Amino acid sequence: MERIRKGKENMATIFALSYQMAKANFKVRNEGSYLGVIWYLLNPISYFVVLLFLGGSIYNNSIPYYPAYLLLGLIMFNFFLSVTGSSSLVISGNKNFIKSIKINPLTFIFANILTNIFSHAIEVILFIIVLLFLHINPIFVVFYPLIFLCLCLFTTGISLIFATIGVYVSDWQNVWKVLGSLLWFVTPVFYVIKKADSAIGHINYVNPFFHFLTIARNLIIYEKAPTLFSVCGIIAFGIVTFVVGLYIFNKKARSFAENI
Amino acid sequence: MNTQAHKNRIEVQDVSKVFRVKTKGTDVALSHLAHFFQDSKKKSYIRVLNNISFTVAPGEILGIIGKNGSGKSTLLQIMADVYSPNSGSIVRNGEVFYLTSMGIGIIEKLSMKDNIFLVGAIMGMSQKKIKDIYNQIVDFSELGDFVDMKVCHFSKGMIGRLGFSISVFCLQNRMTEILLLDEVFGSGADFEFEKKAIKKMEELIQGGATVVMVSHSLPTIEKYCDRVIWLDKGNIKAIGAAQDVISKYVA
Repeated sequence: MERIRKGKENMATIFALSYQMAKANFKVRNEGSYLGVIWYLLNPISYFVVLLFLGGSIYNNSIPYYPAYLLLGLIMFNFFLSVTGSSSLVISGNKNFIKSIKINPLTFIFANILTNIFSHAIEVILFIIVLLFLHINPIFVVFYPLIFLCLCLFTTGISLIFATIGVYVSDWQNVWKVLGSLLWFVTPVFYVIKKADSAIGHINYVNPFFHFLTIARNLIIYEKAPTLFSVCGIIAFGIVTFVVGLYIFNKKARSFAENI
Repeated sequence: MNTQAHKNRIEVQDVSKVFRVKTKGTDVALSHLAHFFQDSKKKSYIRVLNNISFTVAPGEILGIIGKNGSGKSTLLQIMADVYSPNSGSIVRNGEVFYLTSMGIGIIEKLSMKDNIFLVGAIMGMSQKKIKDIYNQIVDFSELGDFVDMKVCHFSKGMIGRLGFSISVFCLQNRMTEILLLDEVFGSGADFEFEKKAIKKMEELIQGGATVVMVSHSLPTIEKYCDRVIWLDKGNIKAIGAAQDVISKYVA
C-alpha cells in the first residue's frame, strides 16, 4: 500500500515538473508571443500545399475529401516523427540536470511529448477549419482524443526506447532519420492503398501507423465506424509499446548519469 | 525510543566507483555494429573511488577536500544517488539534496518570474509553495524592478543573485535533512550581496541539517566544518577534526 502511494506521489511530481518544463519550452520557442505559433503550422502547411498540388495534378487521385485525408495523415505522422526524432537527444541534452540533481529522467521524456502535444493541438484546430471548409461535419473529432491517446502511448513507448538507445549510440538520430523517412513513404499518408494483397498492403498490415490513420480518417472524415479488430489493434499497439519502452528505459535509467 | 535520533544520517561503507573511459568514436552507430561482428571491444576503465567508508552524524557538517580529480564530486554524487557505486553500500536516513550550482535550470530567454517558477519546480517545489515564497525570493534578490524582464538582459551578477535566492529559499522551505554542497557557497554577486548571501548560507547549514560540503576554499571548510575528509586519488588520506586535516593537507 505504502509503495503504491509513494509511486502515485512520484508520478504526480514527474508530471507536474514535465508540465512546467514543457510550458517553458513552449514559451521559449514562441518567444512569448502568439505569433510564434505560426511557425508550428508552417511545416505541416507547406507539406500539405505541396502534396495537395502533387496529388491533384500528377496522379489524379480519386480520394474523396483529399485535403482532409492528407492533412489528418500529415499531422498525426508529424507528431510521431517530431517526438521520436528529438527523443534520442533528450537524455544527453539534459546532461546538466541528470548529473547534478536527482530528477527522474522520465520527466524529460514527458516534457518533450507535452511540448509536442501543445503544438499538435494547434494543428488539430487547423484540421477542423479544413473540415468546415469542405462542408464536413466536424462532430466526430470528439473521438480523436481517444485515438490520439493510443497514438500517444505508442509514441511514448518508442521515444523511451530511442532515448535509451541515444545514451549509448550518439548518432542514433541520423539512423532514425533514414528509417523514419522510409516509414513515411511506406505509410499511406498522402496516397491510398488500393489493393490489400499487394506487397505494400501486406507491409502495412503490421504497420501500426496504417491502422492509426485508417481508423482516424474513417471515423472523422468518412463517418465510418472502425472494426473491432482494428480498435483492439491500436489499443494493443499503444499499450504494449508503452510497457516495453518503460521497462527498457527504467532498466537502464540508473546508469544514464555515467554514460552521458 | 532515542535510537532514531542517534542513527547516523549517512553511512558510507566500502564504496568503490569505476568509470568506463570512452575513446573517440566508440559511441556511434557504425562502431557499435563493427564491434558486434568483431567482438574486440577494448574498454578502458578508471578507478575513481577506492573502498571509502565513513559516517555522518545528524547535524554534523562534514567537509571534503582534495586535489582536482581526487573523487570529491563523484563521492557526493554517489551519496546523492546520481551514480550507483560498483561495490559497497550507502545508507541515507533522511531526504537528500545535492546542490552543484545555484540556480540550476535557469533559462535565459524566459522572464525572471517564469524562471523562479521553473527552477523552483526543478528543485522539487510545488507551484503553490513557490507562490508562497515568491515574494521572499524577489525581495532577497533585490531585483524587484526586473521581474518581467528576460534573464538574458541580466548581468552575470544579477543572474548570480537570482540563482542564489531561488536555490536558498527553496532549500530552506523543503527542510531537507541532508544537504550535499558541491563547490557552492555564496552567490558570485557584488560584495554587498555576497555578505548577505553568506549570512543566509550560514543560517541554512547551521539550521540543524546534516551537511556534506566539497570546497577548495580551505578557510570556508575550516570555519564551518566539524570534521574533514581528505581525499587523494580516490582514497581517504586523512579524516578527523577540521584543523588537523587541513594542516596536514597544506603541509
